[in-house]
Formats: sequence, C-alpha cells, structure tokens
Amino acid sequence: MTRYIIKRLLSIIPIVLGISIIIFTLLSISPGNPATLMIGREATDEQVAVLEAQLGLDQPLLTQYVNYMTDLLRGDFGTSWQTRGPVIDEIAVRFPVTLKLSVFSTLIVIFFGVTVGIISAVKQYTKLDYVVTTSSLVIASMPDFWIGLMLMLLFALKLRWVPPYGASDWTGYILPVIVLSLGIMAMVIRVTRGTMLEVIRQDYIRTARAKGADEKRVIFKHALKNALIPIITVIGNDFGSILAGAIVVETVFSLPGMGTLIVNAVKIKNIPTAMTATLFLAILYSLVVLILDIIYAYIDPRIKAEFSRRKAR
Amino acid sequence: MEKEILLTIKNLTVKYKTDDGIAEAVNNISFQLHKGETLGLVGETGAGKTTTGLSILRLLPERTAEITEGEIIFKGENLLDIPKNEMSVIRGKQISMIFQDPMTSLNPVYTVGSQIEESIFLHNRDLTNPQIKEKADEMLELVGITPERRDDYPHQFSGGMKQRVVIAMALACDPELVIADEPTTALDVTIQAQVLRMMDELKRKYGTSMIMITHDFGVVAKTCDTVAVVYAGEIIEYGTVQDIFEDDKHHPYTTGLFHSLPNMNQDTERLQPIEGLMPDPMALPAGCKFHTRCPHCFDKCKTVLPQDIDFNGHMIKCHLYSKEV
Amino acid sequence: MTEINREIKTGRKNSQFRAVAKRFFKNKAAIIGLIMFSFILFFVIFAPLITPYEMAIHQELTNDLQPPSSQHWFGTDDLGRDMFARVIHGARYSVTIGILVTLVAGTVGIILGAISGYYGGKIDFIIMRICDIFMSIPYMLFCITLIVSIGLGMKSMVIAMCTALSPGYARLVRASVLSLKGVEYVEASTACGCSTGRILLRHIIPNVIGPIIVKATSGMASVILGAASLSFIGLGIQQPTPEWGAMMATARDGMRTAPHLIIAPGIFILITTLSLNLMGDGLRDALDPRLKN
Repeated sequence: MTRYIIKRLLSIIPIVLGISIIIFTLLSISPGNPATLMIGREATDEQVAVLEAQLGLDQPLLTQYVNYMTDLLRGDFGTSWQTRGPVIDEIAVRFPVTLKLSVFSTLIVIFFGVTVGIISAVKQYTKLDYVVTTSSLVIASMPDFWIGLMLMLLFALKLRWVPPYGASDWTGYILPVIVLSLGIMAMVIRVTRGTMLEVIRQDYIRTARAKGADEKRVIFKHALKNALIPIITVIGNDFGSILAGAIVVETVFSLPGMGTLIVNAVKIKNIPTAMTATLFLAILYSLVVLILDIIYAYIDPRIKAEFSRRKAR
Repeated sequence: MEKEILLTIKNLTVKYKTDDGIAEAVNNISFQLHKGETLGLVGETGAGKTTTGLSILRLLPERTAEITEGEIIFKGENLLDIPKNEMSVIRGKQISMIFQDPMTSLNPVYTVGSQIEESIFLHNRDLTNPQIKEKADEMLELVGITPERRDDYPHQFSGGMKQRVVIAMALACDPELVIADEPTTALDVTIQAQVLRMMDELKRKYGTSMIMITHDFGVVAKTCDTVAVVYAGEIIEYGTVQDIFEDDKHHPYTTGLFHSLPNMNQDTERLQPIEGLMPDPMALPAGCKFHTRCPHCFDKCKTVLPQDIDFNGHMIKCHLYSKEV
Repeated sequence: MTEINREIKTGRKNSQFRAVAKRFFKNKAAIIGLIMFSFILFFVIFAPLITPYEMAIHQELTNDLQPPSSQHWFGTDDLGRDMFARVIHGARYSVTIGILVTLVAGTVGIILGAISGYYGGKIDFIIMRICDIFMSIPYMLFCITLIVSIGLGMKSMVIAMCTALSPGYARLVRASVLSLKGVEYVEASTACGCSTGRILLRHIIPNVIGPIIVKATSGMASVILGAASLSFIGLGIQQPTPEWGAMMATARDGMRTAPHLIIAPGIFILITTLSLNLMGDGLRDALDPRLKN
C-alpha cells in the first residue's frame, strides 16, 4: 500500500506542473497590463516600460515562468497589481471563506447524497423513489445561481431570516452552503442510486441472499462497499464542481472568497492574483482527488492486492 | 423401501412480466425429492430450470417474477407461505444454492475466507470468532483449497477454485437440500469432473439431498438418482436414471436430446440435432408445447395438452403413449 | 455479395435503432422531455417571427421595470426592454451554444479518444496525460482562465467550453474503444485485413456511439448551465445581448421590486436543461434496458 501511495504522490507532480504551465501561459498572454492598475490610465509609455522591466515582464515567457515557479517554491506568491501587497495576504483572507463553504457543502453532499441515493435505490419504484428521482432531476437542471437568487429572494429579502449578502457571521453561510450543496447533491443522489441498482442486480448479491443474509446485511455489507468504489470517484469530481460552484455562489451572495477574488482579479486584469489564486484552487482539487484515490485503493481489493503482491515478489 | 420425502413441488407456475409481455417461464411443474437423493432437472437454456430452483429459495426478482400458482412443501411446510423476512433463516441453513457462474457469484471486495465465515456466522450466532474461523478453514480444506489462501480475494482465484469456494459456502451449514444450478457449466472439462466428484463425495458424506440443474446428460448420469426433463417450463418426462437411460419408451424430445449427443456405442455418421427452436415463452403454442418441433406430431398434439402417462413411475407427457394405456 | 452484406448490416442497424426508438417512445418521462424541448426549439426557430430582435434590445427608459402585462408578457427590465422578447431570443443563444459546444467537444473527443484507445502506446500516453491535466483543473476555473487570455465574449466562452469538455469525451471514447478492441468481431475484422480507419469507422465508432449520445444529451444541459453561469458572473456573453445568465446578473440588484426579471429567464433555463436531462435519461434506458429492472 505504501508503494501505491508513493506512486500516486509522485504522479501528481507532472499534473501540477502541467496545470501551472497552462494557467501561466494563458494568463500571461492575456492582454493585461499592470500599468493601468498600478499607475493609472494617464501612464506614459516610458513609465510603462520601466514598470514592466521592474516586474520582469520584458523577459521571454519561459524565463518568466521559471522565475514565477522558483519564487513560488521559495514561498513568494507574487505581488498583486491592484493592492501592491503580496498575493498571499489576499489569499489568506479569502481562502477560509471558500474552505468553509466547500467543506460544509462537501459533507452535506456526501452524507445526504449517498444516504438518499441508497434509500431511493432500495425502495425502487415506490412513491418515495419517484419523489427523490424527480426532485433530484429538477434540482440538477437548475442553474445554481438561480437557486441562490430564488432562496435569497424568499429567505433573505421577504422573510428576512438570514442576511442577503456577505459573511459577517455564520448565518451568512447558511444559504450559500445550501445552494452549493443542492445541485451537486442532486447529482450524487442520481449516481448513487444508479450504482446501487447496478450492484443490487449482481450475482454476488443473490449469493448473499442465498446464504441467508437478511436484507439489511445484503444492502449495507454486500452492496454498499461495492457501490462505494464508483461513488468515491464521482465525489472526487464533485469536489471540483463544488470549487467551481463556489465561484458562482460567492458572486451571488457577495462572499469575500477565492471565487470573487479570482473573478474580480480577472475582470481588472490583475494577473498575479488571478494566477496564484487559480493555481491554488487547481492544486487543492488535485490533492483532494489524490486522497480519494488512496481511499479508493483501500476499498478496492484489486488495487490493494496488485500492489501488495508486487511487493512480495 | 420407501424413503422420507424432503421436498414436494405441486403445480408450480411462474410468470415474468416484461415490457414486451408476460413470459410463462414455469408451467405447472410438480415433483418430489426424497432425502439423500439427487434429482436432475435437464433441459435447454431457457426451459425454466433455474427459475424453478430460484423459486424454491424465493430468490426470484421481486418486481418482474411472480409465482402465480403452486406449493413448495419443504419438510411439511409450504415455503410460499413463510413471510419474506423469515426466509433468511432457511436460506443457507436448510436449503442452499450453488450458482452457475463462479466468476460473478463471489463478492469481489471481501476475502474468500470471510465470505465462508459469513455463511457460518449467519446461522451459528453462538460460535466464537476463532470457532467460526476454524470451521471455515475446515470447509476450505474439504473443497480442496489450502486454508492459507483464506485471505485472498476472489479475483486471485481461477474459475474452478472460485466454484469450490461457492460450494464450500453452500455446504458450510450442512444444509439438507442443495440446489446446484449448472455448477460445472462455466468450468473446463477437466475441472468439471473434479468438481462433480467432490460434490458427490460431500453429498454422500453428509446425506444431503440435491437438485442438479443441468443441460448435460453426462452430469445426470454421474450424479442423479431421478431425472426430470424440462421443456418450455413443463416436465415432459420424469423417471429414475435407469428409466431415462435404459428404457426404450421416451418423450420425443428426450429421444431428440439423446440423438443430438455423440454416442460411443453406435456408429452414427452425423449427430441429429432437434430441428427448430424452443418456443418463445411469451407465445407458447397450444396443445403439446413440443409439437412445433416433434417428428411424430399429429392433430391432437396441436390442440390438447397431453397428460402424464405413468409406466411404473416413469412418467411421459405425450399423446403417442395414450393409446397404449 | 457486397450488396447482400450491406443489406444485412443496415437491416440489423435499423431494427436495433427501431428497438431503441420504441423503448424511448414508451418512456413517459422521455416524452415529456421531448415535448419540453420542442417547446424551446419552437422559440429558437421562430423567435424572430414572434417578435423581432429589435424588441429585445430596444430601450424605452420611461417604461422600465414594468410588471408583466398584456403588452409586455414578462414585464420590462431596468432599461425598459421587453422581457418576453429577451427571453425567447435568449433561447437562441443558449441552445445554439449548447449544440455547438457539444458537437465540437464531442467530435474532438471522439477523434482523440479513438486514436488514443486504438493505437495505444506513446500516442495514448501523451493524449491521456494531457487530458488528465486539463481535467484536473476545475471546469469553471479553466474556462475563466481561457476566457481572460483570449478576451471576454461569446466566442471566447465557446472556445473555452469546448476545450474544457473534450477531454471528458476523449476518456469515455477511449475506454469504450479499449473494451471493444478485445471483442471477437473487431479481432475478426483485424484478422480479415480491414484497414484501421475502416475498423474504427465501421466497427468501433457505431458501437460506442450510444454512450456518447447519452453523455452528449445531458452534457448539452450542463453546457447551457455553464454558459449561463459564466455570463452571470460577467465573463460570458455581455449586455445588451439577451442571454439568460447575463439578464439575471443585471436584474439581481432590482430583484426585490422586480422578481419577474429573474424568474422568467430562470424558468426557461430550467425547462431547457430539464428537457435535455429527461431525454438523456430516456436514451440511456432505451439503449441499455437492463438498467430498468
């Protein structure tokens, strides 16, 4: 198993490098210019040239990339063209908001999504199943920002139960977390239900029943563990959807998180902030997928056995 | 010498509801099984053999299959009257089943040892863990697998080995009846003989009764005491192994089956397959269900369902013989 | 000989197609989806006849934020534009983007995936690693980055979404091709000396097309949702183009007094994506009836 973990950890290095190259290249060739942000519109050409030389922007792209990456590894995350402060300071303020949002949403998605999906599959073709499948299909078809706006309209503006904007206290997180979870939960329910139905049809489930295992044992011991294997992969992808959704939900509720940071930076062409923040989220996503892969290997004996056998030889 | 009756099936009828219509899979099947004996259910794929086997354990797919008629009396009790959740007490303990495809019958995420242990644990809640382990190891040894392999997963086993594990699971609680559904079909010919011999030994040792579902007369000859030939969900011929293999009276279908087998004693140029296909269970023909393929078919066959004709326990469901009695 | 062969082949395909179609049309939910999608498609095709495009961008500042009335069925927005015209013309943008992105991403994905799966080796390794990298950047982030680098607007958004989505199709196709490569009839045609291109086109692609169509149908729904989201955060289609997401972004500030400006485009998005998802589910069940029992 350690071999597998090491192998997976190493495999993330080219991925992270690839991500950084893509993001760096795309953002570097974008028509952004630090001068308008740092000096103002009335900047003269000379001033701009001096500034670009100062920031190393006159260097070839490859040199810029190498400099950027070596700086990153040294712990220098770049300087925001807007605030002129270190980018890391901005991220330090914004990241906890996104982290809270995505962690709570992920927990809700996993817990409710998987549970409801299983119940729906076990009670296939009952009224409950119809209600669950229909509502999850409808919710999965709604844009999350629209769900956000509708809930805001009802609970924040009409009923005034929660604040409509910002995250001054925890009540400000209620709606964003619900909105972020709902759509992805609907997808998890659909996948879990489908996977469970697939697994329940397998021969080994019939074998378990033939042994005399009661229905509870058949579902929770024999079916669930098999169903979890594909579900874990889906949850990995869903964490990506949650990060993506966070960008939109933060915009809807004006939460000061990574999403609004990136969108605002991108709109005013504050490239260093956009780059580091995007890279930060992309790497975070890769790490989460990596962790899920390792959990996956623990559950799936085929991977586990393959690596323990190789070690034995 | 009259032996004790273990299982009686009376007029069992099973239908499958599908999107395209109702499939009549099992039609009015009746038979008896004595203690310690093996009954062979022989017939082509799709004749309703497996459905019959699954009905006994009530493992038919719930939503599509329905037992519309009949009784399944096991040790004096009609299994069809038992509440659904109480069947788990009987399954595995008194009646167990060996499935056709060993490749998919084992749960891929648990070790073979733990799957055998589960069979034991489920019906012997008073045993301690070490006792269960010991019993499981015993079962592995019994089916010819070294207990060291208990912690391996099914994908590390070959097909024959997996089937041994399935058999060990089925026999772990000394059931009185084992339903073996084509236990050797998925295996290599050399392994088939080994597995059959092993099952036969185990059966003798524990006095287990068995229903052997197969399409292979070779398997029947090796293992069975009585034989029921199934065609389109009906038993069209029933008798002892001697009746089936030695008597010259047969249902034309059985004769056809024998002709389609290679025979060492006769010098035949070609095998003679039965012409045509088995009728669609969603549109069974009227009268004798075999009449569409029968070389001896006459008018009565097309309209009147033949009754069982009894020749001292050798039953044949065919109009050809009704004149004689 | 070849004539007969062709007949046999098309005959088989037709009956297979007919069986799938029969199952699809028996599925009530799929039919509801089809009806809903036809409803949207009606607006996509006939929007200019129902109300000219000028109505969707014509400002009438004295007549702003009107609630729904007989003259303006969905009311007017903050610049006095007729919301009904904007919403039905919005359907043209959303559905076109959905179809365009899905077609391009699907085609690119099929080509890459088929090459990767069929040839294997180095080509496979390179294509798949590139796909891995693209897929390890969350979809939305990738789109944002790409849009910024080539400039805001509809064209950039379409390019970004196509690039972000093709690796998913490539992976799906590659997996299906790999599983088919070992299947007897493909081995048989290899043994018969069929050319690679012929094997891919005649034997492999037709057999992996089912899951691709299913993925494409529900994929189109997520393209429409994604385009709306990007436009909503201001990085996709820009005002005054009547796009549903962009419309809601503008309507957000006046949401309390004029909620209809958000409700109407939202419901149209919902109808569009729900219809696609219903049809996608219907197709999946029709292609693989096993899943229903």
